[in-house]
Amino acid sequence: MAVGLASSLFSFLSAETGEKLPLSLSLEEVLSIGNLEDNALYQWIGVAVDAEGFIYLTDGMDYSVKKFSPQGGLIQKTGCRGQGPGEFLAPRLLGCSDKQVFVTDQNTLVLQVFDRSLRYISRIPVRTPVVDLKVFPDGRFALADVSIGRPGKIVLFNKTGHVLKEYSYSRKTGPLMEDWVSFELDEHDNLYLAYSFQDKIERFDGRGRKLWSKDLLGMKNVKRQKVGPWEVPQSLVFKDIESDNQGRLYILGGGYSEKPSRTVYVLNPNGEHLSTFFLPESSHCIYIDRWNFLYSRACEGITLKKYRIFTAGIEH
Amino acid sequence: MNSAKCPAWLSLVLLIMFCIATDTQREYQTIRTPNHSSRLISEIQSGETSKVLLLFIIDFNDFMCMSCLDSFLSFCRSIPSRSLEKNAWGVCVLADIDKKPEKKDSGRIAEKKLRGFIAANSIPFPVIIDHSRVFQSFAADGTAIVIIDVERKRIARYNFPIGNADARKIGELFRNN
Repeated sequence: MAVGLASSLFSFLSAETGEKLPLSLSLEEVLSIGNLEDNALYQWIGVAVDAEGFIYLTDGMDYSVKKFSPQGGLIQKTGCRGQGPGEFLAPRLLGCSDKQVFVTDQNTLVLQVFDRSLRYISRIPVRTPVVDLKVFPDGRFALADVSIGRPGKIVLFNKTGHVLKEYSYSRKTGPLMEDWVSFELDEHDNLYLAYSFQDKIERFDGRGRKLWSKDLLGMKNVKRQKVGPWEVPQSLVFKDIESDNQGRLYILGGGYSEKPSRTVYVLNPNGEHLSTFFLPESSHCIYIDRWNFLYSRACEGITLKKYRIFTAGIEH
Repeated sequence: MNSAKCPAWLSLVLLIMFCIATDTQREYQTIRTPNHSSRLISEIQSGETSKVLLLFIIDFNDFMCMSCLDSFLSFCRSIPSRSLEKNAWGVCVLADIDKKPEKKDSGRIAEKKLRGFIAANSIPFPVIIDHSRVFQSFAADGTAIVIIDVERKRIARYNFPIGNADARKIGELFRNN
């Protein structure tokens, strides 16, 4: 484990629009897990942190889920290639409740449930591959799936997998993958969406009413390319959305942002653009824990970085 | 759900999801030549070992392709493990060489990912990185199998995914060796 300090202060000006932004953010690296020599991580994909600060990661290269101490030591590992209980073909996203860890597999239509010592408990069937997952401390969880051929929706489940609520965020079926989203659901059931293939961030209230919709890049259309008989988007617009414990939204930009896979846009819950900053290295996702530490990827997935977020400026 | 049994559109969607999840980086640098690649080269050049050689020429970019990995693993499992231990080598080719300074560790990152994959799948034969680019031309069309006969005179090449008929033919060859 190597820990370094890399602090930088970012501009108050929006990179895309040049508008004056009210906040400036800086990141200080506080933890680094995985390096070129060790066997900790080969290609991590999903990350979650529990209430005690233990870090859970899925590793796509060795089909595993790994648990690290708050100091970054590997303390547990489970999983191998397969389709049986506790096995994976392509482990992806994960989330922690107070007692359990939920893990998705891109190639099997189940959500696997483990205890916090990574002992297998059960599996919950899902309809289609999952593109985003949110797990609440009480065991409720919400999924966004691939929504092919039907309008997109987010489904909230109780801890045994029974549907509690559905958020239908689009009313019509658009081009292939147009409705794919990353989402964030807060404790008051407000839903925030970052569209993977549209320049669109949205908020819905607990009753499913759209409160606002915003573009960040001023894009009209996403470029598409022909793959066989299909036209698919060439690049992601937004890769991930997270919120901190003050309700600010952090949105990781994709291929259309100034620095692809490194640009993070910060909005307040009303959709006002507060700040933009850049991750030191490109990442496929961001994660913010309950103490406002931000986690992202480095070294093409063999390293996880943890940062403290500092803010400066006046937020209205 | 096995991706081979998926509808085509779902395979496409899964592939795109995989690329999103892994944030595919397609540039890798060539790095120094290790000693064991010269051992393989001498084994190819000499017929003294009196065995058919099976080379898995692995394009590292295919590590970003789920169905390629599945095809590779399925084929490996169709050959008796003893034959693979005795006759097979894997050669990982790092194409798309990028000289950018920020990519200086890409070769070592590729090695590490490969190490995890090999251990997790109990691959029973040695896999080397083609640092010296000797095998790069074999991977021009992606991951392939190259069979070199006992006399070192004939070479057959099969690109992945391997069809059933070819898989049977190769399997027979190694059941008799």
